[in-house]
Parts: sequence; C-alpha cells; structure tokens
Amino acid sequence: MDQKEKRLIKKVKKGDHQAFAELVDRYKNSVYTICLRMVGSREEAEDLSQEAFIRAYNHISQFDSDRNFSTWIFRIATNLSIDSLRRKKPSVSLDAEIPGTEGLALNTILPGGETPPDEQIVRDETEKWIQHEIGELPEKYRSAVILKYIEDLSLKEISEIMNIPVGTVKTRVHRGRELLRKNMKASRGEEDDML
Amino acid sequence: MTCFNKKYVSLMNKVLDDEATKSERDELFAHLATCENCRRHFQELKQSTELLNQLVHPQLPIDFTKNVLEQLPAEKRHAIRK
Repeated sequence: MDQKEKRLIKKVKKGDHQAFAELVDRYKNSVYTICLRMVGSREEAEDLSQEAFIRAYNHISQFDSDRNFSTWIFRIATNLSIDSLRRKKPSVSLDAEIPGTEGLALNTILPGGETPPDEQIVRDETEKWIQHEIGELPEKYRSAVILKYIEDLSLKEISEIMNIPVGTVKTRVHRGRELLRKNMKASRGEEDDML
Repeated sequence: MTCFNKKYVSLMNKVLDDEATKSERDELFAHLATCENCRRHFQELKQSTELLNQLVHPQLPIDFTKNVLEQLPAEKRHAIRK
C-alpha cells in the first residue's frame, strides 16, 4: 500500500470523513464493477457498493494497515454480493429467457464479424448475454472469474481477497472458464463434442 | 475424430494462465495444428474470457461518495462541512 493511502487510513481510523471520501473515490468504480457483475443489476450493485464502503468505515479499526485497502474492500464487496445472491436465490429462475437474446450468434457479436446496422443495440444485447452467462456460473467460480478477467487481478491478489490458497483460485478460474465456454457454446445452440 | 487427451487441456490452462514454458507452448501448438477438436476447444476458451473483457465499466452516479459520507456515523473530531 502506498504511503498516501497509509496516511489516509490513519486519518480514517481517527474518524476523518474527508480522508475516507478519498478512499471511496479511489476504489468506488472497481467495487461497483465487482458488485454489478456478481449480481447483474445496476441499482442493486449501487446499493451493495454503498453498503460495502459503509461497512469498511464502521470496521476500519479491524483493518490491518500493512495490508492493501483494495484487497479488503474488494473482499467486503464480494461477500456482500454473494450474501445478496443467496438471499434471493429461490425466486431466481436460471432458465428464464433473457429478452432479445434469442438466436444471437457469436459471429454477430465478435469483432471481425459483419458490422451490424445499429452497433449500440447489438452492444447492449451482447452485454446482456455475457452478463447472463456470468450469472449462470456458481458463485465461487463467478467471483474468481470476475476478479481475474474483469478486474484483471493476479491469482495472488484474488487468493487474498477470497481467503483461499492460490491453487484453489487457479482451479476455480479453470473450472469457471471451462463452464463459461461450455454454456456460451450451448446458448449458441452448438453441440459440445469434447469433454 | 475426438481427442480425449487430458494432457492437452492442462496445457491449454497453463498457456491461458501465462504459466507455460516455451516447450509446453510448442507442444500444445504442435498438437493444435493436427487436432481440430482441441483447436476449437482452445479457441472457445480464449473467446469466452475475451468477451468478459469487452464488458463496459459503467460509472456510478456523481453523488455516490457524498451519499456514502452522509450515512457514516458523525465525525469524531471535525464537524461535517457541507
């Protein structure tokens, strides 16, 4: 953790709101992205992000200043997102069709394919489809894949955030990646002839 | 023709994790050149994570930080300045 951040933490521990605001500004977008990709709804992700920072502030005395604040706040955000998913699980149908994704073929959404008439609409549909596929992953694979491929964190950082050994993170990334491949392929209506 | 060789799946994972040695990479790519199934599998694995990279990173509303601060317990040493 850099010296500036160490100083900020020290001030926050004494109850300085302005110092905390600086920390929020540093990490809010990453926190929001994690929550958004975990739960899939912008509104809910915003509430979860807010809750994550409020929790961080209220428990700042438990934070070890020799650790990275990012690791800590990302862990809080990930755990809150998982809790939220578990709370509403029974009402969520994994088979529910996402409107507008029928027949969406990969060649229409990958770069190099034909340019669609309205690029923005296709981007939104692609976005929805990818988010849907992330949402199909079991929580432990989902969080590993999001931290690795959307937040671009190292396996070591992810292991600290998730509080599991690096080897376990690796296994989760591998399984998540494989499941994502398989589901994406299935949703494009292709047969999987391997493994 | 279906290739069931798990060795290549583990090599694919190593390459995708950037942990393969040069000889492991060479071994995988030599195999991919001859095995269509593994080649497709590898392409699909790469594509699925590349798609994740394309997701937008939406911005939070401008007053997010202010809203967080308003919900914190009162400052101990300074009065809240608006």
